[in-house]
Amino acid sequence: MRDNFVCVFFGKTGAGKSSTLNKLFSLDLATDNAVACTKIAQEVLLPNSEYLNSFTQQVTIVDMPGIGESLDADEQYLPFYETWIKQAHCLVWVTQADTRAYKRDQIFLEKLLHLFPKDLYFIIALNKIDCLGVDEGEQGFNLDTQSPSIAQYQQIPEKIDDVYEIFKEVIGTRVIFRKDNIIPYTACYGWNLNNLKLNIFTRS
Amino acid sequence: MFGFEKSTLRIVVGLNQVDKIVPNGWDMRLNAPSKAAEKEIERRCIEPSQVEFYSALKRYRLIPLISTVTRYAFAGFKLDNVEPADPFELADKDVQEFVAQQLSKDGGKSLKSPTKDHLFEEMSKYLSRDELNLVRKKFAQEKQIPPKVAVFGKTGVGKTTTINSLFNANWKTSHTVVGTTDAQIKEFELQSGGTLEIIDLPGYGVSLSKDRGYEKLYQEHIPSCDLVLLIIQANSRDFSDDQEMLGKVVEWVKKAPTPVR
Repeated sequence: MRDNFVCVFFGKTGAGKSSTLNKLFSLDLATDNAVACTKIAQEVLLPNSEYLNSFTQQVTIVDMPGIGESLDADEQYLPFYETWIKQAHCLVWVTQADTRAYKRDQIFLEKLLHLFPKDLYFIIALNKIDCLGVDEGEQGFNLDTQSPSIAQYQQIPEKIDDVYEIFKEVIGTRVIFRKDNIIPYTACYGWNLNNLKLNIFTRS
Repeated sequence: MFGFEKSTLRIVVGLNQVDKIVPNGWDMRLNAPSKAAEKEIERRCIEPSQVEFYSALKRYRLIPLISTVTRYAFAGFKLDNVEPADPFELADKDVQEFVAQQLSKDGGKSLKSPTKDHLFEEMSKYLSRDELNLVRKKFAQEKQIPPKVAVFGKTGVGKTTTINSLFNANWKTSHTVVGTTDAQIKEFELQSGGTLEIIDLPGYGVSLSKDRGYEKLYQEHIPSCDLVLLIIQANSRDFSDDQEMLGKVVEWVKKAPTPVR
């Protein structure tokens, strides 16, 4: 029995933390295409009626400023990260599928790992599946069915393997982390977003 | 953000993928950014002298990019026969006619820069014949070695794609897993004359262990280059990796004010 379930959204700048939260919980957090806009940790108390289950009284969602904006900003935001991660029950690490650069994720994970509560539920939200690159002549994201194309579907397992190896390299055995804790989705079109929500709340 | 001294360093920053800077920001008909995208580009490129925005995939602004590369390359003199793109090519007809008229008036003089022959003529006034011959010989020797350009940047920003678009290179690219894992080197003839040696370096930022492995490779190649073309991604905001790496590159380049061979 917990009175408060704290779920922290964390990740690189531009990965889509705020957009994901907006879509997941019908919020209205500011988003921007080019310039980082979440400058402080934003707490959102979700209305009980919708998310209440037998174990939880209150759900608190925390939207963190993104990492990797610049070296100065990273330093400046560090106290927010430290405060909130210590209290988190669930940490949703948002990262994007349409990149191959995860070093900054690793650097921060390494820095923050010692703050992770032992029973932290760690999820990787693999956003922007719709932007997964395809070769010339192959289909991109299917706008009619709002789902990935066949070419994109075929890339997802390879992508998850790659991300898993990179994160596992740092996490080790500090918290439980398995391949099925990596959830591919797209906030922009909503594909698999419900699955992400389910995953977050199965452990609440 | 990328505060390096103007024109003294042989580094050019290329802002790739401007076609994706905002969703639906590309005008397919004009093959150019939409009004909204243009505004975003302006917001990002505040110091445009050594920064060029382009899209390798859309073949957009490749000529300005290659012009800037040759302009800031250390051994730009080797490419003295490079003809810059006609700036009036896409202008209205009456403008083109006016330009042609003006050019025929002064015999095309204003477009020509002093050639190396003038330079040698000038030198002959001060140097003995033997000395001048030595300079000529050195010059000829040096010209045999094409300027070396390192294409550098975070993984997945489109380094190899940029090379493919610029030189029709057909080098292998990949969407999901890391494409380039070793330095690829090749010489390319420029359409406008001259030759460039291009080094495609594996991208940084993949993981801590990979970056440690690559750093040696970078340090080995970058000081020997006439120019470092650092490519960053227009539709991205995480520039910490780039900032960190640019700091190192600036240091390496400063330590080797002329390319080390």
